[in-house]
Amino acid sequence: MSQDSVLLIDVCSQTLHSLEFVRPIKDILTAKNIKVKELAANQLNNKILDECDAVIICGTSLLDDEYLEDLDVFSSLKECDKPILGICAGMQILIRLFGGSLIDCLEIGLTTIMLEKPCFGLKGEVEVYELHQYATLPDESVFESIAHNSSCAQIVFHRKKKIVGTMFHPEVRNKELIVEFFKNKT
Amino acid sequence: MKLAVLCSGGKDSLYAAFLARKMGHEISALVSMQSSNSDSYLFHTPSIEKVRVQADAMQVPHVVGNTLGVEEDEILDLSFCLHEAKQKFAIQGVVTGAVESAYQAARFQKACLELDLELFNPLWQMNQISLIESLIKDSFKAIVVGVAAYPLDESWLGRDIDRDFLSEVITLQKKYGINPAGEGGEFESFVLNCPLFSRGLEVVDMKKSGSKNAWRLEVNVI
Repeated sequence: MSQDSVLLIDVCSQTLHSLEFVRPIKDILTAKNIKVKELAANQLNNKILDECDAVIICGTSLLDDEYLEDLDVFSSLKECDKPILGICAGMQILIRLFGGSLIDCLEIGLTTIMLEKPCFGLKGEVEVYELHQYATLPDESVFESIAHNSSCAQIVFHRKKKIVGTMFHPEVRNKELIVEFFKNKT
Repeated sequence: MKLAVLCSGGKDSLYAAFLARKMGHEISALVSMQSSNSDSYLFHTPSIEKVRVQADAMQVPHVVGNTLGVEEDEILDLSFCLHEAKQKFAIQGVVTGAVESAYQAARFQKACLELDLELFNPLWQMNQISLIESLIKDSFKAIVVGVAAYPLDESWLGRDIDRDFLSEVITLQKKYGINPAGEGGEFESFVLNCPLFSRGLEVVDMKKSGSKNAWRLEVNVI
């Protein structure tokens, strides 16, 4: 039987940024003996999605928003039935794919968010690390917001699919969320 | 991309610079902040004036900013210095050796965003043992120039950061919670040679100061 694996989608326009936004997530998963495959966003296709067991769309730097220029490269995710976690830029991509929009919202550094429901090991008030210039306005018929801070929605759940978005970067202060996301993929 | 490296002279900032160059970026300047507060919130202080010699060995200019080391004012002083580097050398981004400190990383992010500069932290969240192993594998020669945690003492000053060092700090990590890469400020380092340098630096003089488990080493290098 082949080992379950996670597909990490890299949206960074500079490879040097991948060390900051993709490698830490890979390290968290591989430390738990979870198999990881990294992929640039423009290489995404249905066959690759079929071969993995879960998908994580990683974030990128504050000034890098090239991922918003061609959302068609992510269109195969709409029909995907695998669990998907979108982190920061990844959450923004998911919200846009499913009919929502983005607004200007700058947050840098540690903030406290409040969860209305538990999420992959997090509950109540939690300290998180933020790094974004945009926040999301989800289509509420598609996504439920289950965590907020004073600025914006911080965690969203798709109402029908196994899709989760976090505005913050769990790879910095909430590493357990990434592992629990994978453990709860079924 | 033309990048400046926020450089303390230590292993992390120069290893981050090494990765940036390895990925095809141009290192256009080293930027250092000279803090008059030895317990600076943001900037490492031991041996920082020797970064000029490292910059010479890299054949890049060295931009030095000054700060009183007052919390929150430090970042304004850094912004002023990065602005100068942007004007003089047309840098498009900044590289730092930030690994774990959200306090430090967030402030660097704010300073760079205001100046419309990309910020690269290629060591961010890197496993501390892997970091030291990578430095050794990539032929970095660095020594300890400051200690600030029990049971580290005067005897650690000047030690090479090599495999023996790594195995000893791993033992201390298990026993005392010492961070193997010194990310918690347990020790500070200075790079004497690495693939970025056109020549190795030679220590011609060193002076120790401190007591108990807080020591620093001023080195003169050529």
